[in-house]
Amino acid sequence: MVKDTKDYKEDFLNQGFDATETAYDQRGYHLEVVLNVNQVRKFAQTAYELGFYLVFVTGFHVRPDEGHDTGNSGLEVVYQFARYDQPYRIKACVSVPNSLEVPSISDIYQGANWHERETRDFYGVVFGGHPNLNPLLLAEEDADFHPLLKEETNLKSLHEVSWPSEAPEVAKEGAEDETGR
Amino acid sequence: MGEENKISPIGPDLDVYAANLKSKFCLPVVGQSRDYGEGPLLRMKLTDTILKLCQANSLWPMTFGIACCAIEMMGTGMARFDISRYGSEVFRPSPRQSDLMIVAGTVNKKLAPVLLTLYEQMPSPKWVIALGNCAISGGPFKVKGNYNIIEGADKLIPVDVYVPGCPPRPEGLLEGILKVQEKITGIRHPIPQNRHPKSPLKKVKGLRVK
Repeated sequence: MVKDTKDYKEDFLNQGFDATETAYDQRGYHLEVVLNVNQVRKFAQTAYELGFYLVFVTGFHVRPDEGHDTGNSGLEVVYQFARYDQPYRIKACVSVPNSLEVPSISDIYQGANWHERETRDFYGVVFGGHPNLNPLLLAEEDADFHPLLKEETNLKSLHEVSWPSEAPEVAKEGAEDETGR
Repeated sequence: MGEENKISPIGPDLDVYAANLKSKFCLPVVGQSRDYGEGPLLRMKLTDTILKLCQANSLWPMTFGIACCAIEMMGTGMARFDISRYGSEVFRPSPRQSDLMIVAGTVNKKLAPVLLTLYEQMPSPKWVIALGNCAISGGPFKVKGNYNIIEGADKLIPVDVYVPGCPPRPEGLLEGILKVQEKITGIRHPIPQNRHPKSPLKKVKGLRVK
């Protein structure tokens, strides 16, 4: 990491969020936050006040049995935040409950407006409190069709699509290969 | 999640969608050859021939680039390939002034009504070139699970000439335009296109030119 950078882990832990530090060179973000649905707006507000900007909002669809709270839909919504003044990225993910409703953060981050509409298009997540949750990319006729929801047979469990907990094997610099060169 | 989570069979739906849209937009087309519909009351053969020759040699395409094939279309318009050798360089920004629509790219569900509107706004007689695989059959998007790409512009509008390629070379589009001209006049373009004029230097005495 670049010198003179601030670590924001404590700020989020103090607010009661489940934040874990991660290796940036392996994951691409410095902090991973697992939220529940009630924390989403508070988290966005905290991140906004700390000066983070929103990179994207998207979702993914996994088999809803393993690694999840009971009774969720198998859908997850992922937010990424970053900073302008130093390299620091946060991944926040939230499990979508059976009602498919996640509170909208589009009044905190205006940029989330279209991202949330896109996520609704593709996954059918309903963002509660969104001012205009109409199809953004898909045709009007397809308002009830969500193309990125997977069929039952194609679903993978969460740990299959997550990063392995141990560091992946990478070639070390200056290591010799089998031919001895 | 329940029923709404299931992915519906999409392939047939797209065709139904295109057919519905077409019936909503299009006026009934008389016959397959649209050269004059049912034709004028008086038809003079010589006048007709001259008129068709004029039309064929001054096709005005519409400025309507949808996807990457449009880049090749622009290339065809520029000096190297020079579409104006065949009289089609006047790309009009309005369908009211065009008589050739080059469907240069992918037609998706959201674009389909636009394509139909533009086609209907073009004055008759009009011709359509489907440029590239997307406009012919859906091309790389014609896969299982395709939910958004109309598989071929001919599901929406009648197409006269299909130019295959992904994208086609500019020569392909030029050949397509020659084919449209052939369709209009009934003969291959009569003027030899690629003959270079003899070098004027040959006439100068004392100059040796290879």
